[in-house]
Amino acid sequence: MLRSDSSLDVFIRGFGQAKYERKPNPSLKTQDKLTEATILALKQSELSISDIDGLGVSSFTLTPDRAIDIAVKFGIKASWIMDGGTGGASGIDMAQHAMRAIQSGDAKNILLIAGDVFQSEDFIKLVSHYNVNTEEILVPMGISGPNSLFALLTEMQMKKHGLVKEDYARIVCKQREYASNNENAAYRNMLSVDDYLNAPIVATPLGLFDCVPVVAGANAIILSSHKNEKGKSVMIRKIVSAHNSDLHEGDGTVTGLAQVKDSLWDGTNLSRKDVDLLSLYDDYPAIVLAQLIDLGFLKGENVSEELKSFLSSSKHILNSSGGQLSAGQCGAGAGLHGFIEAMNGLTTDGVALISGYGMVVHRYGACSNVAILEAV
Amino acid sequence: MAHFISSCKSCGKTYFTPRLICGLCGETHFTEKPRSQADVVASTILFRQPGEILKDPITIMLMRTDDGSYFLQRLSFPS
Repeated sequence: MLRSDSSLDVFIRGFGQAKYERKPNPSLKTQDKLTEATILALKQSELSISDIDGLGVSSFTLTPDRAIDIAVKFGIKASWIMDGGTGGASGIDMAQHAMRAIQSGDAKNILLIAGDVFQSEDFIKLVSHYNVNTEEILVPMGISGPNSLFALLTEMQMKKHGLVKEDYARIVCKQREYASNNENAAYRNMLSVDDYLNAPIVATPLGLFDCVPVVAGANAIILSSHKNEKGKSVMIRKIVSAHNSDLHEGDGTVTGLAQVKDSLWDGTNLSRKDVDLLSLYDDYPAIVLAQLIDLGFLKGENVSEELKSFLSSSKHILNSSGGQLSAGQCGAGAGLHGFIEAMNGLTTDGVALISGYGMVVHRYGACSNVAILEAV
Repeated sequence: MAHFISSCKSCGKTYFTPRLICGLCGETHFTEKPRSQADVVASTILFRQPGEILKDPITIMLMRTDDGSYFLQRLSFPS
């Protein structure tokens, strides 16, 4: 029977993260990593592949295959299917759609997977042909990849808030502390402020540790109308997207989250102070900082001092896997990285806030979204 | 490397990068016009690209025109 009930609870009842690899075997394919993450998620969910009736896939390197190809290769009969195309925001975007699909009765158990394996020239090819603006404007200027764009954004943020490099070091070094406990992190050695400041320059003011290490990897979550009675389940309390919120006419130092920071909590009986874990999209520390301000965790008045206080407090744990800055960025798989981080980190009654960000249309990411998760 | 600002033929709203539909008036016809005076908002010297360390670092500037449009400009090409 078709039903539609937006108040119906939707749970994440399985999650899996494939091994993140800096130097993948040349024979490794994206579909291998997607499979690896899926098997882990299924095992954790107490479901079998035949229980899955919905599939969402996000990847840059899976091409020419799409979600339907994976459905066939995984043996999934799908009453709901989606190709996610928003990179670092695709995980939350797919979850937003999947949640509604479950609430409307289109599917019961939806597998969402995202990941990439970059071999030899794959990454350069991706960043050189990312979109038409890249091909027509950035590449002819000699720009390959987003580092110089976020260097400009960081410089503007530094001027705007009176920040110095040591402020960004606090974010990166704090996340590295967490990464030391994450066996799947690309960088696990402790990082001192001096190490950070003395790292090779990529694009002023960004150094090596301001930029994510690219890895081969994938992440998977399983959304369901029923929680896992034997294992961990987390309820999705709210998902909000704010894409192209400034029409790409701003300077990029404010994300779309600024427009939803208060309405985000409507109807949840939760507030900012209830958040235990923050999994903020961290392709660059400047974006972590922007989101902390935009979501109201920092007032934005004396950002340096506010950040110092925030990071030294044990109230909110920020990017507990080390984030992408330490764990690594597996292409579109980064869009689900925060979910895995939260699923691993949440205890029985915790609340996590996850954000997605990405898709540099010209100068900065045009996509922003956020999800509130609560352990049940 | 010459870039122009895209301007809506109907309402005159300017854009960079070009749009397909004017977000202000909904029209679909645009004309290109030369950029107005622009100030440097930020700059970076790019030393490393994916897969390479640049022998000749590149300076990229973010410019803002009088009418509020942002665009990127490379300071110079290597000789």
